[in-house]
Formats: sequence, C-alpha cells, structure tokens
Amino acid sequence: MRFARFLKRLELKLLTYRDGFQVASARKDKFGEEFVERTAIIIIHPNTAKTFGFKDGQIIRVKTKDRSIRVRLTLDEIAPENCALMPKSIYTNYLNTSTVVVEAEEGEVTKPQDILNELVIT
Amino acid sequence: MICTGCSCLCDDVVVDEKVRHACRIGASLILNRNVARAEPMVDGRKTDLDSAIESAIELLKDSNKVLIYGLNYSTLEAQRIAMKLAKKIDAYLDNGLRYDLAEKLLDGEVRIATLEDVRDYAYVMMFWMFDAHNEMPRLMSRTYYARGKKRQRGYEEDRFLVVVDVRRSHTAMLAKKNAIFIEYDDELIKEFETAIRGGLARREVLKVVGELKKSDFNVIFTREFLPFANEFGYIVPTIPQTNAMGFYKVLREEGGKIGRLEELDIDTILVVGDDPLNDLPLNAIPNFIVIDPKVSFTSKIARVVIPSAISGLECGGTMLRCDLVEMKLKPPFKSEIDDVEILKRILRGL
Repeated sequence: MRFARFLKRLELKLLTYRDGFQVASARKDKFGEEFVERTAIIIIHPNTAKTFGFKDGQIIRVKTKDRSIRVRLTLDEIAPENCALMPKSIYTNYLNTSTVVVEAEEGEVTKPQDILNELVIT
Repeated sequence: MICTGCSCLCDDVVVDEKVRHACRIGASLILNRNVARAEPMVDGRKTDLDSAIESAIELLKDSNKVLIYGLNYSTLEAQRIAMKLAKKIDAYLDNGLRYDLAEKLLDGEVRIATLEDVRDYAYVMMFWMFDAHNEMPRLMSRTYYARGKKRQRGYEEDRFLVVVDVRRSHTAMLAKKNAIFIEYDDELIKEFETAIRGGLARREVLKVVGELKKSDFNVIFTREFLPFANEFGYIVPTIPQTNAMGFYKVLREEGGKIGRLEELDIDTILVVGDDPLNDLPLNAIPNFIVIDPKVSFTSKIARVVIPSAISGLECGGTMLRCDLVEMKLKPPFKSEIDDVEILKRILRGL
C-alpha cells in the first residue's frame, strides 16, 4: 500500500466549479449522503489518470501544505489535462489553495463534519 | 410559483401533487423543503424562537465589529431591513460576491438585456466563464434554444454560440454547429478589444467578431465586467445566487459599508441565508448568528441559530431576476416567520 502511494502521486492545479447536481444536493441536505457523494470528489482527465495509474472511483488523498482530505476520484474530460476539478464547497474552502498534491489512499471519503471538527479545533 | 432555485426566477413552475417545469436545482429546493430544517439553537442547545432572537440581540449588543453576511437568497424587503440594521449598529455588509459588474450596470455604464429580449433578438450569445448548463440550468432553454420574434429558425441557424472558459465545461460541449469554444487565457480580453476595433487577434476571436456584424443585437452572459461589452452588444449578468442583483440595488439605494471578512477584525457575523464556511476561507472562527431555513455548515458551529422560511416557497416578497427585472414571489406554502419578521424583531431589540 505504501509503495503504491509513492508511485501514484501527482501535483496538479486545482480549479473549482459549480455542478448543478451538487448544488441540488446542497439545497436538500448538506450533511446527507447524496451531498457527500456529489461533493467529496476530484475530477481529473482520463489521459492524466492513465499516465499516472489512477483508476475511476478510487479514494484519493488531496493534500496542501498543511491540510488534507480524502475524496473519490472521477475521470472526466471536463477537466483539463494539467488540472484537477472539484465542486466549490466546504472541501475546497478548507483546502484554500490553487495547487494540490493527489495520491492514492484507502478508506472512506472525508465527511463535512470531520472538516467542521478540524476547523473548530484549529 | 416563481422558482427561487437560481436567479433565472422561472415563473412557469407549477407545484401541485408534482413539481412541474423546474430544473434539478429548483426541484430539489421544492421537493426537499422539509429536509434538514434548522431549529432555534443557542450555544448548541435547542431553544424556542423568541429566546434565540433575544440571544441574537444580546450578542449583537456585546459585539464591537459586526458583519452582516449573505442576503443573496432573501427578498428585497428583507435586504432593506438588514441594511437598516447595519446602519443602526454600524455593521459592515458583504454578500460574498464581486461588485464590479453590478456597479457598472447600476451606473448605466453597461447596457443590459432582458431574457425576453435575448430570446427574441439575440444572434451571437457569448457565455463568458459561465457554465450555464450547471449554474442556471434553464437559462439556455429560455434564451439560446427558444425561438423568438426575430429568431424563428432555431438555434442551429439563427444563433451563434460562443463559450469562453478555462476548460471544456458542459456548456462548452454544446459548441458544435454555428458555435465556437475559445479557451480562456490572460490575453483574451485584450484580443477581443483589439479585434472589435479592427485589429489582429487569434483566428477564433476574429471569427466571433465577424459574426457580430450579422446582427445589431448580440449578448454576453457574464459575471465580470468586460471592457469591450458595449461594443459587443448587451450584457446579461449571470450571478446564480437568487437575489444577488437585489442586494446590489438595495445597497445602492440604502447605502452601507461594504467590508470583506478576510480584511476585517470581525467579532460577530450575522449570516442571513448563506453559508460562509462553504465560501470563505476563515483563519479564525468568530461568533456566528445564523438566520437560515436549513441546517448549514455555519449553523452547526453558530452561537445562535434562528430558523426562517424559504423565500418564494414559504414566504412572499420581491426579488430581482439576473437581468434586473423585478419579480413578485407567489409562495405555494405559508410560514409563520420569515427573514423580514426576524430582522425586524432584531432591529427593534437593538
């Protein structure tokens, strides 16, 4: 697992965007499963994923200098090849950066409540 | 009813045993109105509405520097009271969005087109860094795809679509026949300025400028001010937050101090219908008073939570559509308390 993590590590420019389905899920319940499913994602271009050995649907750790979250990877051509896309949300707000490091990870995606706990403690 | 899912404020939405004509954002708002409703809270404990309002008043009285944040989803009437409240306690105001385009529009420096005019007359439609498909899902069906008085032959013949973005958004993917996608870079604005005045620019820009000559009614959908807007044609401001344009207009009429949270040493934020934890990078967590119909990230850590009504769905009033057309809301449901009533009570108590 740790060896795989070293192989699958990539620095990308982070772009935020508005996704209609994600906005709709936020209008329903910001702590609901549907919201997390639509929001805790990172989108990269299929060619970038192929080059660096990432797979659609796998869990990814997105890191900045001092913060990190776990999200699910989605492959889609709406992302430019040198960038990662994330819906504008508490996740991107927490990262607060224009460049991120993504690496393969295991486990569950980070929940909004985990970010809130982190924000309140810090 | 008039849907308050985004600033399109679609007036053909029907709510009976089903929700008809609404987009996914509007339908979610209406169908899930009873999900995740906020409850009156003080310091993490449930209380009654009167106590929550009383605690908000006390907290505001004890604060040195207050910011009133949000108001993008509130009616003009609520915005007006919030601005009176700001004046009374010398608070700053912020809706979390940019002001440059709104100021130019309200000053009359940029020509604005209504959605109906765009539908009836527009030929070139440029979506500038704006993914209509996701941000205001019915905007294109009300303008680009719709047949209008002078545009009877449909979008493939009677419209020319331009999508400018840093990436191939879902709207950009529609740029096929009689359409063009231009990848945004820092030189693009200058190139449009030059090309419109007859100078040289990249091939795609020259193509768009060539198309402009085929009609005297062309339009840009944008949320930023573009220096070539008047030479291009008209503007439709595309801030998706339901009544953001109303905020700017009321702010202009009532006057008020604009302050950015990140630039000020704020100790209390009165949040009305918004969620700063979703939008603003916060280095320190101040005291939050949240007025919101639903549970939000900010309401989870707020000192005081005051539940309200969903504007347009449970309470009436007036809002400004994205193109500054005033719309009278027709709520299908009723609520005993709304933003207007809550803000009035806070104002009286201060």
